[in-house]
Formats: sequence, C-alpha cells, structure tokens
Amino acid sequence: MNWVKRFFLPKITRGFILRLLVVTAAAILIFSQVLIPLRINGQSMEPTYRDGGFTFCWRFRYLLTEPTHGDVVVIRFSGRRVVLLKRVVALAGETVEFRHGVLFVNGQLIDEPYLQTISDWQLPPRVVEPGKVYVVGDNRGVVMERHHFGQVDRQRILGGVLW
Amino acid sequence: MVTMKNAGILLLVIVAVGFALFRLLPSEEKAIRKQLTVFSQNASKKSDEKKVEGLRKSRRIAALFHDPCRISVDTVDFTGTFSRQQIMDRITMVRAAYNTVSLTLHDISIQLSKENTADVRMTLRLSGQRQDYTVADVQEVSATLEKIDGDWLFTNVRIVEVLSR
Repeated sequence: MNWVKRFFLPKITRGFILRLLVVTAAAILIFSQVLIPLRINGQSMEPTYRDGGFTFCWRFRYLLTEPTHGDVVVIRFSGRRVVLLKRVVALAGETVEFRHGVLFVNGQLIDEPYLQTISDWQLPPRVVEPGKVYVVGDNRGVVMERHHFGQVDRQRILGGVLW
Repeated sequence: MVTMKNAGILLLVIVAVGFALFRLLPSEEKAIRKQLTVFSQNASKKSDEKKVEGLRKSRRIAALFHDPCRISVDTVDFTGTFSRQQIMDRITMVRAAYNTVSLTLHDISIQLSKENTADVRMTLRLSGQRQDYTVADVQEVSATLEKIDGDWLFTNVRIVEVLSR
C-alpha cells in the first residue's frame, strides 16, 4: 500500500511541482479551447439532450469538414460561456419550410427520427443564404414563436457535440 | 546580500503588487461593468416584489440610458429613438408581465473606441415565469455607451440577430 500513500501524499519535490504545473496547464488548455464542457439548460433539444444534462463541445469537429444535415452544432453568442445547441436541417442554397409541423428541404419531406413531439409549425419556404446553415431544435412541441431557430453564420458555429 | 532566492521573492512581490494595483484602481472599464451590474440586478424580479419596488427598479434601469437613446429590438418591434420616460414605461410594462425574472450578462467585451465612448458586446440570458409558461431566452446585445457628466450611459442598444428565420 506504499504506492497509495505516495499517490495521495506525494513528496513535494521540484519534479512533482513541475509535473503538477504541466498537467494543470494542459487541463486548462484542453477544457477551455478543445473540449469545452457544456451544461444543458433548457428544453429546446429534448429528447436528444435533456435539461440538466452534460456534454462537451468538440472544437475540431469542423476543422476539415463542414456541418451537414442532422449534425448537432454548438452556436456561440458574444463568447463561449452561453451557447446554443441546435440541429442543422438545411445548408446554404437549400430551401427550407415547415408544413403542419413537417420539415421540407428543397420540397422534399425530411424524415426526422429524433423527434418525439408533434408540432403544428407553419413556415413559408425560404432559401438559406451563402455562408449560413439552417438550424432547429429537436423539441418542436413548443410554440414556434418561442423557439430559437433559423439561419446562422457558419462562423458562429463553435464545433460539434462529443456525444 | 542579493541571492537568487531573494531576487525571486522580490520579483513575485512586484508582480503581486502590480496585479493588485491593476485590479483595485478605478478604471473606465470597471465603471461600465458597474453600470451593467446595476442593469442586470434591477431587471431581475422576485415573485413577492411590490409595485413600488418594481417602479423604483424600472427608474434605476432607465437612468442608465441617455435621453434620448436609440434602441433596436426587431423581434418585439421596439425600434427607434426613445426618451428615458418611454424606456422606463416599456421596462415597467415588460417586468409587470413576468411573475419572476432572472437576467444575467455573460461574455462581456468592452472596447473603449474613442474618448468617452465605449462599444460593448455581451450575451444576455433571461429566464422567468409568466402566467402560464416558463420563459428562457438568450440574446446577443451590442451597445454603445458614452460618458456624459461623469456617468456611462447607453446611447445605442441593438439586439444582434444570431438566428434569422
């Protein structure tokens, strides 16, 4: 049991302090720049992401690829402390609309297996502008006026979710 | 005798004093942050708030705005140049519609662009309870503040459209 004692009560040496500093700096760097912890607050992505849940924003998710249909993306506001989780439903140049709660992209009905609520959303067709993607939450059971959705600049997408 | 150890301690003390002075001395940025704190504290509302207290809070918020102030909140059709009284009336009306409100400001960036003018960007998070439903909203706010008679006042406030339908 000597190793247990050494692990929990290490001898404070110069090497130990150096290792501690390196590990702390690495953890700060990783969890502030690469894998940003997210505590989910709100019901707009239910049932996929429940209120009070936890996940990480994977910053390198779109380093070499672009967001595509069905991806859950992290959208920033003025910083990274408060972000939105939304699902990409249409890309630039595509036409998106809702008819009686059903999503149509380029006039084609889209199957959305992640939905569990019935909605009555009506949204006339609109074309997604260049450099933007169209995002919607999975919880369509709320009134359309109270749900944050629409087209967002690609530059505002911080990354994807880890799970 | 100056040893390496003593020099190291001296350096640490200088850094600590410098940091403390930087944190404690008054600055324009701190004055602006204080105004933002006044805004968020007075916007928040508890369920047992008295009407008089609500009016007092609305007045405190309105006092943070220059008379007149340009405001653009397209989503609720509140866009134009408004007097302080009009802003206060609107704040009173909005606060009265809620049973409880919690308003917090995050990711605040302040840029002192020119003398006595500052551009502020922040994320406003509102959660509350109306008669029959819970409200949770997040908006990005872009604002210009000017130092007028020693006070930093909002002269222009705009809600940034992050998601457009």
